Parts: sequence; C-alpha cells; structure tokens
Amino acid sequence: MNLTVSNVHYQLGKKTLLRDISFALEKGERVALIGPNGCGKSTLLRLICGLNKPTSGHIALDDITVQHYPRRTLAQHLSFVQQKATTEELVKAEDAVALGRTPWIKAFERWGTAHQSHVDHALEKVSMTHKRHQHWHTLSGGEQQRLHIARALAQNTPFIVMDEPTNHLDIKQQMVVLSLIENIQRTMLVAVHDLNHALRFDRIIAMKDGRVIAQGKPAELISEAFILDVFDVHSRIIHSSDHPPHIQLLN
Amino acid sequence: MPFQLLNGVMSRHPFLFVLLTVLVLLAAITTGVAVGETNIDFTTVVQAIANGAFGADYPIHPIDQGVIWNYRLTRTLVAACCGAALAVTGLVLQSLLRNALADPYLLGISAGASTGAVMVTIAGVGIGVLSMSFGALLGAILAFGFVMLLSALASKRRSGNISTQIILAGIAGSQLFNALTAFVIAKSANAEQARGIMFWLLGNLSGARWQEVSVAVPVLIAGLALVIWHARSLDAFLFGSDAAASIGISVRRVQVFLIFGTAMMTAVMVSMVGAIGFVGLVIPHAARFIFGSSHLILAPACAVIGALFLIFCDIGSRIVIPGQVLPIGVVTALIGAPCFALVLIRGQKQ
Repeated sequence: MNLTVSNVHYQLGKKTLLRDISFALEKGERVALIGPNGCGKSTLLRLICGLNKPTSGHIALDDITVQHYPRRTLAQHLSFVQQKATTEELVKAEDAVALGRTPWIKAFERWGTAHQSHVDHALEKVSMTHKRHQHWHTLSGGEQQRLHIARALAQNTPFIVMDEPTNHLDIKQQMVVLSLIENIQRTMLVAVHDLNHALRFDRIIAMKDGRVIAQGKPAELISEAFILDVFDVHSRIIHSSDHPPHIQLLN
Repeated sequence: MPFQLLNGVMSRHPFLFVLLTVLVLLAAITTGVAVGETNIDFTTVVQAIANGAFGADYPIHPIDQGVIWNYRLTRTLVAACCGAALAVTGLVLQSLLRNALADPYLLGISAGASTGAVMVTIAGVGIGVLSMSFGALLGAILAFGFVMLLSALASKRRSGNISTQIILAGIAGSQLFNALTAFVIAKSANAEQARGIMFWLLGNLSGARWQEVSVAVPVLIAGLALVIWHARSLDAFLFGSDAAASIGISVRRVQVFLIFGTAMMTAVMVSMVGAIGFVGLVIPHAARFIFGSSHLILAPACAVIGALFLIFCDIGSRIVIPGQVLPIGVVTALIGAPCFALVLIRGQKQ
C-alpha cells in the first residue's frame, strides 16, 4: 500500500492550514509525523483518512485518490486511531474492538468465527484479552487507547494512521503503546509529539506552519539545530552504546 | 442480575425470546382492550377479536363487539405503534447525535404538528379540505424541513461532527413554530378550542380507529425495518461520527436516511394522536441499561418496550380518574419518571 500526497493545500474559511504538502510512503514503512502544536499534523491526517477534502492537490492510496474510494472500501484499506475518542455508553472492551469489523461485515450477516478470531487476535496483540468483558468506562486511558489500536488491528487494513496515540498517557503506558506500535507490521503514519518516540520510527516527516519542512531517517535528520529550528527549543542529543540516542530538552 | 439473565436467554435462544415477546405483546394488547371504564372479561375480548379478525361466530352482544373491535382494539394498537415508533426514533436520534437528551421532537416535529393543527382547527386554513391530522402532518413535515435546511446551512462549511448544528437548528425551529401556535391561539381561539388543542398536544388516543391502524402499522414496520437495516451503522457511531467514518460508514448518508425516515414516522404518529412526550426520551435509555449497546437488539427492544409502555400508560389514562380520560402524555410522565429513576439508580449500581 503506497500513499502519495501531492501539492496538498487546505483552507478553512480564510485560514490556510496546510500549504503545498508533498510526500510519499512506501509499503511497510513506519513514518512519524512531528511538529509543534497547531502545525497541521492532525489536519493532514484527517485529509489522508478522507474525513476532509483538500482544497487543492491530491492524496492517493495505491494511485487512487482517497476521495474516490467508497467509504467502506477506504476503511478496508486504511484505519485511523484518533487522538482521544471515548463514549459514555455502557459498552464492553471486546465490543469496542469488534467495531473494527464494520467495513467487512454486511448489514444482516451473522457475527461468525472469522470476525471473532480477528477480534481475539487483536485483543491478544494489545494484551487486553483478560479485560475483554470489562466496561469501557472502567478502563484506564492507556487501556482505552490500546483498545482503539486493537480496533484498528481488527479492521485488518494494510495501512494504519494514528494521531498522537500516546497523548494523555502516563510514561509506562506510553512505552507500552509505543512498543506495541513497533510490533505492528503494517504501513504506518503516526503523529508523534515526543521526539524520543519519533526516533524509533523508520522515517520522520517534520511539519511547521502548515508545511513539510524536512524529512528523512531519524539519525540523519534529528540534530540540535534541527530541533531548535522546528520547535524553537534548545536540546542536547545524548548517544550511548547500549541505548538509542536520547534527546534532552534544555531551558 | 435479572437483566443479565434476560440477555443470556436472548443470545442463546433467540427464537424462544421472539416467541416470548410476541406472547407478552399479545397479552398486553388483550389487557389494554379488556381494561377500561367498564371492564370486559378476557374470554369476551378474545372471542370478539376472533369474530372481527377471522369471522368466528361467537355469540357476543353487538355493543360489546363494537366497543372491543372498533374502539378499544384500535386504540390499543395505535398506542402500541406510537410507543414503538417514538422509542425507536428517540434511540436513533440519541445514537446519531450522541446526545442523551435527544428525543423525537428535537427536530421541530411536535411544534410543527401543533402549528399545523391550530392552523386548520382555529385559523381555518384549508377548512373542509384538510383534516386536523393532515394539517398536523403537513406542519410537522414543514417544520422538519425548516430545521434540516437550517442545520444544512449552519454546517455547510464544517466537516465532521454536525450534531450540535442539528440540535441548535431543532431548538430554533421548535421555538419558532411554538410561537406561531401560541400566536394563532392567542389571536383567535376561544377557551374551549385552546383547551382542546392543549389536550391534543399532550396526546389523545380517542380518535384511533381502523383507518389510523392501517396507517400506523405499515409506517411503523417500514421505519423499524429501516433502522434495523442500519443497525450496524448506528453501532459505529459509538465513538462519534469521525470514528464512524473511519470504519467505513458514509456518515452523511446514514444521518440523512435515518433522521428523515424516523422523522417521517414520528410525524405520522404525532399527526394522529398528538405529541406524546417522555416515551422517546426515556425508553431508549431504559433499553440500553437492559440490553447494552448493540442496535440490532436495541431497535426491536425499544419498539417492544415502547409499545408495552404506551399500552399500559393508555390503560392508566382511562382508569386513574373514573369517568374521565387523562391526556396520555401526563400518564407517560407520571409513570415513566419514577420507573426511569429506578432504572437509573440500578444502572449506577452495576
């Protein structure tokens, strides 16, 4: 599954949110999207998922424009984990994951073993099998986020888009979710707010003020000067023999 | 927990459950026919229905036969249909708009219906050509169209979640049409007419005959079928409309189909019996507490609970004050509010 974004502009009212965005994702690549708050990461992800239409330019999945996919077909190719989606309904963990089968099940089709095994597998993958019967509102933020990821896995799409999946989580849960993401063998585009998390991806795309300003392999791209340029923050990159490099933010 | 037991039985033996539901409904309808100002014994009720439906030849006094077949049975059937329709509409609106306070009248239907009704009965628009019911139906459709147009204009430049726009447009539309109704009443109604309109607005099943049944039943079946057909789509709105879109739901299409379909169903019911309140707001919540969140189960469950609820409220409205029929809307709230409070408290404990 290839994703091509070419010359995308997006305007809401008089405000231009995205300007001339172009990049491509190869099949199997895991790419982190970074940039300060309000730089247009979420907006871009919404366009890629077909939730909004670009004002000009186009976004294509396997050379077909996203807007031209029927909704259901698109959902068979691409799944989206939102930043924070919750519900007040009395719903079980397992049923929230089962929603991922929606694009694959017909209106009156019986819920069969094939669908169930996708759900079981997804729950297993996010280590939530033991809590499958618990109600949504009894679970922690991290567990809820893992269920959203499981829902995307149950959707069984070759391409997964995530919008800051570790936001609102404590550090332990951040690590859990992050290593979970590392173990998913799909094409992925993930908006990431922690630079140290971004280092663990195959490639980084950096945005600022609605533009893509740089992209490349983490080791080649991330430098102290680069972080100052994008985030306006001084930093120090610590290299050690037994750990991946670590970015320390300075005042 | 009795609810879990109920759910267990339902998932293991669906046919048994359907059979049980049908039996309960039949029993409720029979009770609704038998109980009234003068009680009629069950045997006579069953015989009279058999006479009417299958041309059986049980010897029953013609007056009893007439009362049972032409008045009480039709009244009970229309009550059941209205209860079912209102509850299902409430369920759909609450799920689609993700708002626990959404009810079937949110989109201006009762306000429009009352405007239509007073236009015909008091202002005399189209008198002799339009009946009050037809006037109410026209008013309801007009008001609904107005609200939809308003929400479309309000959400034109927005993407994603438009439920707030729909709700606000509904409030604006309802207020406008309520003001129109009040204007017409204040301008030209006498006290008797004003009382009549108020009574009708709180729900009045006394005019329900076979003609009403022949409209209510097919409309309910069509509406319910539409909702069940979209049940999985409604499930998908659990985490909001963006989440629904990203699991393959054409959000706008589903919203338009379901809102339009259920609104028309409600408009038809309201035009026949007035705006019976409370059912559409509360039954869906009660059903969720009992049956969880799957709309494939919730939609028929709401229909059945709504039907049962309104049948029993109708019985209540006829026997609470001897010699007088209360507006059914009063009874739905008087019985419904405490029942709902109980369900709420039990739900909390779970």
